[in-house]
Amino acid sequence: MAVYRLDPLGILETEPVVLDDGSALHELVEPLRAPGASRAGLSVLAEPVPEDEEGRDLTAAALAIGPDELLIDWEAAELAGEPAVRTLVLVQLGGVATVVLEQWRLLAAGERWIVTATADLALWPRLAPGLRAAAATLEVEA
Amino acid sequence: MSTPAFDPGTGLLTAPRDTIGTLATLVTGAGEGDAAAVDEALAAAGAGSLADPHPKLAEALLPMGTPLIGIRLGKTGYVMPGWVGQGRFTLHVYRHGDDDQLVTMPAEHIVHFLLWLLDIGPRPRGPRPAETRVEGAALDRAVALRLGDRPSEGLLPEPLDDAVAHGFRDWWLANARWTPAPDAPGEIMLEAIDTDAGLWSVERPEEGPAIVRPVTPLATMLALGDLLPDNNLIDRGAPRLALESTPVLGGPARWVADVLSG
Repeated sequence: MAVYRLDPLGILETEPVVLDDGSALHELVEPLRAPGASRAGLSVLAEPVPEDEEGRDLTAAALAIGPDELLIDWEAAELAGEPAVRTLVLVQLGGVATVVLEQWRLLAAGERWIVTATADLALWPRLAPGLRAAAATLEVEA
Repeated sequence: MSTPAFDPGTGLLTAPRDTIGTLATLVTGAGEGDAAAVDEALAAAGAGSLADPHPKLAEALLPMGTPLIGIRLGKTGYVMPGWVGQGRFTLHVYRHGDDDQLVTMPAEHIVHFLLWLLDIGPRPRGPRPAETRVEGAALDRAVALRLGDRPSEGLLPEPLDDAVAHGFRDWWLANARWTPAPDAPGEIMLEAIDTDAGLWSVERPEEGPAIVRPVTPLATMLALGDLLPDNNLIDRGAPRLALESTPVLGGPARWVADVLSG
């Protein structure tokens, strides 16, 4: 089973909370938290790599968005030393608020990884640089 | 002419432009209008009346009656009025004239809605000059010609000229006004040209040429977020945006109509 490491840079909790989908959410440290509809932070999800070619197509997976989502931008990128697909998606959260998801998808150490920086839109300009910097420290190994 | 319609689930009112315009005139307090005709249209749509609107229509009318922020949204050569107040955003969406819409939503959804309406999404990342200075009249003419699906080659410096002449998608403008707190700005104006080569922001200084710069979809998203100013920028003592600053009616952008009629 692959493991990951990331530097929380003093802005994220070192110990993650495991969410229902199995992803590990490193929330913002308490002093940086603000009221909002979403739990701001950086989550990491590792899944088995699908066996079919279509399932391994990171770009197709990244660009498949839901009905309440808007794809704002995407680009080829690199994370943890591997090619990645980076997307920026805006999500309408159940009529409550608008949330930004910046995601990186990559195949590394025999697994498919999704790294997601999340915050309410109103907080995004302030939080995004730190969340991106923390994501950039990701390392994975088998 | 289509029959007025109302969706009681969303509060969406579809009606002729004049009906929604009169409704806006009356509810904002901007002037007189044929209230009986509006009532007749609202009743036909199942939306109640001016005095007793359907609860979902009442939500749409709230920001029109006590706006804190006035929005003017220009798109495809038309300017549309919008209002933010009481936690809601309402926009008179110009469509074909007989099926205009009064759209309402929580104010927090304004950016998501505008990104959808303006079709902001991924664009090419090819190199473009950091800025292009161009006479505002030439820029207006090129944009107006393209909005009318007419050729515009040669009016602008390259590579902007090629992007507008051969890859024009749309032009839009978003303006928000509020009663400013002391020493705070009271207005924000965003203008952009959308092309297959990417989005371009337009800055129009009080003097000198317009400045056109490439912008990313992310920067555009964040800029649209500024249409709802931070609370400390608004004079909370003001009961509402002054009537003279409150948008009421929209219509074709004159500079577009002038070029296309010439």
